[in-house]
Amino acid sequence: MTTSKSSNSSDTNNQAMNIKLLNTYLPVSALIMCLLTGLAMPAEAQVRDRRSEQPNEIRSGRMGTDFGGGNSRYGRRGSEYKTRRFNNNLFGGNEEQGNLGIGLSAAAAINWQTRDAGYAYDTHYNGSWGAAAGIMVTYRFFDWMSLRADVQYAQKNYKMTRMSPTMQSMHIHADYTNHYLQVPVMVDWTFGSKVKSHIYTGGYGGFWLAGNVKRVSIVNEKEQKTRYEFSPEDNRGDGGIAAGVGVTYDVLPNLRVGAEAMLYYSLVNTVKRQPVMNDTRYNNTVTIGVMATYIL
Amino acid sequence: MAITGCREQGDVYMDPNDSMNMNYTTYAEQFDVIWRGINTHYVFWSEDKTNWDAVYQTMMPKFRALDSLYKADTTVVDSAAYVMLYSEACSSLLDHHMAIMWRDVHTNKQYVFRPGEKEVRSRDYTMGQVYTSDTIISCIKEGITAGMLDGGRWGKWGENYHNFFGTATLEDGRKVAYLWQDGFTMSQAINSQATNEEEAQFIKNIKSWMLMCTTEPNLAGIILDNRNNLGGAVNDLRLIVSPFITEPIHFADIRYKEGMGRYEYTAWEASIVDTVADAKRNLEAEHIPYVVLTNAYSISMGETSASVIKMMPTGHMIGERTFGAHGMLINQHSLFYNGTFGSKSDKHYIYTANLQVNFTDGGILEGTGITPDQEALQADFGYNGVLQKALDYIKGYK
Repeated sequence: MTTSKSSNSSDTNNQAMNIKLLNTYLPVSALIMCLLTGLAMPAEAQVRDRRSEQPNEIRSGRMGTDFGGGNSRYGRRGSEYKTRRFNNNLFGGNEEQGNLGIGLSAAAAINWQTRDAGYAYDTHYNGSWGAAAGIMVTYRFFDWMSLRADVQYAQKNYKMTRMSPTMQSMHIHADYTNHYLQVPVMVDWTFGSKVKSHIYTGGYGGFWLAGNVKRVSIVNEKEQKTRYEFSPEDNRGDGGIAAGVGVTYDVLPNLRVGAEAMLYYSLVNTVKRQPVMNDTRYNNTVTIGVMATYIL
Repeated sequence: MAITGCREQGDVYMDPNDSMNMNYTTYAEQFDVIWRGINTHYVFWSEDKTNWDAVYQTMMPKFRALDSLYKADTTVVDSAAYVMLYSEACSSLLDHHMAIMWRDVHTNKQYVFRPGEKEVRSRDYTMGQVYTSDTIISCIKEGITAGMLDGGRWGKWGENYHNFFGTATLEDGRKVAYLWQDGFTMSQAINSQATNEEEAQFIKNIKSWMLMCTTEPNLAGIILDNRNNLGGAVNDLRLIVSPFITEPIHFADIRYKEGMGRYEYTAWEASIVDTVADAKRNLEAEHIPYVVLTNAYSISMGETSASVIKMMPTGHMIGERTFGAHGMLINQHSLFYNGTFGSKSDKHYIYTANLQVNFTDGGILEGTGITPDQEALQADFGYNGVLQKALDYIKGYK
């Protein structure tokens, strides 16, 4: 939780003296608490124990003066600077923000398959756009490192086209829309303060839920849309490497918004391994989108 | 690079239709090419229970053993043993159109094995026999002699097609139009010029039968004899069905393969026999039965047409369960990249369907055949006995 400006209504002289005492007592108290518990607890949990449940309520402090809840700022001679409150989080971190975040992401997804068309000389497999969206949870260990896990719906689409003049005149093609559920888990390497740059590295696991095909075939030159029928050779599990970059901005103390680009490089063949003749088809998916995180 | 190395490398697909891939010199190499060709070109993997990978793993050592035998003594490879290996490898394949032709890599002697024919000969009602056109031609001639059919003449188109048009007269004086043919090439013939008398008669037989079916006022019934009909053009349905229906008949759905994978199918698409604008005769309104005769060697279009006639309002099928070769063939490799591959003049040629057929009445019947409405086995009644069943049905039809 970030601090926000609030006005101090007490006498200026008393305020200055109390600030000096607080600067001494608060860090010492926090240190004692940390040593006593021996636990790495989020700074917010400890601070909340000593903080008013209703931040706007004025409570008397040790010296009989007023001080606000966690949203106050204290400055020497009335100026403002961030109070460096000691926190007992063993992993460090920015004590002004919580460590846990929950958010949403939405993106456009471009996917293409790495596969061999064999001797179908005029058959090409090309990339195709789709969509992706998900819920994400982040946990900050350090200001520069967090862990992020998403539960995400992603489309991994591709197109088949026939490029010979005869096939082109007949517009023979098949557009595959494949619906996946995937769970990327990544380390978020963070740089910056209010405007942050992110590098994500990790992996993902997923499952091929369903598919649709829109095609024009040689037999019937009218476009037809059908559900994809899974075969015994289809491998519905998915997984691989997840990596990306992003930039975020803290628009509010609790709210972070940003844009990101991710690569999902599948290491799982969409076709099960066959004993004699192995056919390999791998998805490569890039998502470009936006995200918003609420920091608890 | 390390990351891309985590992905498996796929096997290279070799085009078995490319003459470059027919330069093999050993029995094992030949089997490998044929196996891979069937692996990617065969359209029935979704229905076929054959474990094709297990076939490779079982049979390849046997072909290598044959190579070892030849290497030891170049005269010892036995033709029968050679054929047996392909029979063992391919017997269980469902496609009843399939013919596997190959040449001995050393002697160039050609062999052929047909899995469908082997299965049909094993049926109890065929008793191991292969029915031939010569037999039925003889029987029809006997039928004419016996007075079952009036007159009629024989026609011949090219080297492979024969037909016969005749009539039968019932006791009440009503007429029955009868056509027998051993293949479907009606559309092509009637739109072509005859080059000799036999071809002219062939065309005349078709036109006479159609004329009688559509205009004879005293018509009691129609018989299309598809026994020993080896198939042909599907679009002949426009001549034998369309003039007699007032509603289109959706008789089947078809699909083919659009990629290298065994199960890379297109969607099912409807095959429909349309009406014609100048529909000649409403058989249903006039209570005129349309009987199709079949036997175990009614093959391909010879049995598909029977299935369609069965679906007509007054259609009726009499005879034996048919051959079971329904997959359609469009022999254009560059269009489909599946189906037939190789060359008859080269070291291998595999004749196989490239479209699956799923009948609206009965489902996928590849390898099973069309079951008649009224069973009449050739072994029990003979050719003319079955024909008599048809005449009796027409006589008693109400």
